[in-house]
Amino acid sequence: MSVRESTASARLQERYLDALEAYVNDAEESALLDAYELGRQVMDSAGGVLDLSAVHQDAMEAVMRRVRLGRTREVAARRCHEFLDEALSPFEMAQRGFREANMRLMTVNTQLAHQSAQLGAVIASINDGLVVADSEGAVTAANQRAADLLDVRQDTLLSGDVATVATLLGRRCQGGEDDVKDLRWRLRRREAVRATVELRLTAPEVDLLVELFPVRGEREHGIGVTLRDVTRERELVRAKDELVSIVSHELRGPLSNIIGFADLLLMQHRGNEQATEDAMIIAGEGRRLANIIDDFLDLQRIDRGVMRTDRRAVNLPAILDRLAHVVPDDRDCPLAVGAGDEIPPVFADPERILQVLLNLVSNARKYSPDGGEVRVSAISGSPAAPEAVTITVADRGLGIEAEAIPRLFGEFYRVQTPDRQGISGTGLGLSICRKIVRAHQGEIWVESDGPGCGSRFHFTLPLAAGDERP
Amino acid sequence: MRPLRRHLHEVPDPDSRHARIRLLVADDDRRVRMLVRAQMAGTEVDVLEAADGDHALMRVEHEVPDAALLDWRMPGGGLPLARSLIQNHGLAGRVIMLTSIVDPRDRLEARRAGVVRYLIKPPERGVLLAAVRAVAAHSRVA
Repeated sequence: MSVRESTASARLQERYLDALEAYVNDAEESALLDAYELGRQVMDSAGGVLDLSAVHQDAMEAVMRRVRLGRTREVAARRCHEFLDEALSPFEMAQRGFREANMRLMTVNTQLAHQSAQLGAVIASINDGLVVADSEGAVTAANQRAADLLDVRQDTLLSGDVATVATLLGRRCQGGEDDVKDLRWRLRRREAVRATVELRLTAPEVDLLVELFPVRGEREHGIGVTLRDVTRERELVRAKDELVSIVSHELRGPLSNIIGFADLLLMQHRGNEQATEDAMIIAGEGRRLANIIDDFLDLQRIDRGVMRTDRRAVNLPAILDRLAHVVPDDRDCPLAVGAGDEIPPVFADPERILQVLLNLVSNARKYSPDGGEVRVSAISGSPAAPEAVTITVADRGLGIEAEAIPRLFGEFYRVQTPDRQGISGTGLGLSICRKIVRAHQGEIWVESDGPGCGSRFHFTLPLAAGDERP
Repeated sequence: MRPLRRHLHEVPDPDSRHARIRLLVADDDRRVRMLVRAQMAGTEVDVLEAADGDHALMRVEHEVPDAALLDWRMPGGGLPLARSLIQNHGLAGRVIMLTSIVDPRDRLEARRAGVVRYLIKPPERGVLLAAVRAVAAHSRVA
């Protein structure tokens, strides 16, 4: 070993000892590390001359392991914290969002509860009776007013089927069960259409307007019924009707005498041409007036809904047969009636339907001055009305101008064209037809290809329900 | 041999036409009674007149008619009179109602009460005569 080497080694030894001293004095880990590093260099350079005891070395290494371990743990812990912070932040945000949503939901819930209570209060306090049922017909809501009008307990109503409404009303109807046939039929079918039925109840006497309406939910459809006491309104209408009726009867009586005596004159003066013609004018004009009064009273009766009670399941071909028998023969305008046997029964008042048909056939002939076949036909389930029977009366007569069609079914409306001048009428016939058809929940309309091309009058009648069929 | 029962809408055979028919006409309107009397002039129908229900019942007590023609609207009402004549005076199947207003409900009520014909004013002579003859024929075979 050279002198220089010995000097360097001695300096290393000194620095090593200084470092150890610093560690001992200050308990600084960095000093210990320095000491350890210097110790190794001393050992290497000395080639085993400087003999650090094994115990010292072990102790130093143990200290180093602890230091290293401590550092790793610290780093790991810091890393962990960083990672956790990163990982947790979306959860925290979600949690915050959830908390907010929850708060909002609670507010909405409170609002809903408030609205529900308000709705309940409205339903309970409206002056109309209200019954609502689900798609199975089970009553889901009914107010006290409905229970009062139906003369039943509210909880009984709530635990039953919506068709019970018809049964309860039927017991008190003036016309008995027949009055509620239509209502029961609709409630059972739970049709998704609006419909109105007016009933006169007894004990106590109440005029009740029953309205059905569909309740459309997201998944299933129910039905609602409102019951309105219209006694006061109807009393007023009845007073007006009575006045009109009295006046009409008072007019009709003397008019009958005028016609009757004019006919008598006609008979007694057969040879006298002038007297015959005069008497014919008196009788003819009298009959015209009488027709107006009859039509007017008829309209009024339909408005009052008198006819509604006679509806039942009827076979349309039977009505058409009767039509063919009742209509007088006319060589110029022969009547052709045709309906297949497959026409299902309709829910209608046969007398009134015959009245509509007679009116349409009589019009068809009246407005066919040059003659031509009048054809009456019926089909079920046309594209325009799949759930109904459509009846058509077609002629080859004067036809109807397009602009007259929208007003044709209005009261007292008559088409004014030169070719119609000699044809008399009251302008009430088609309006009566429309009222009758609408009272049957049907529709009436007309098609014409224009003047000279004839007309086709169509009307629909609803099919009878399975259990109502004859 | 029992005579054949005729349907009401059939006009009786010519043999029975020669027999006189007594027709009670009850209407408070004198002109209607006059008209019916004039229409029936020259036929086998003799017209008995009554101005109201009481008067009609009084006449029936004395002489039972073959047919009755009653006004729907008259003092006491035509329908109560019809019921009384049918139930208490043996006029079942022989009552004709005369009305100035066509009302399906009235017609139904009349039919339920046993009224066999329901005519609208003014009745045509031929229609009235056929109705009276049919009803009177019914009274003979009943």
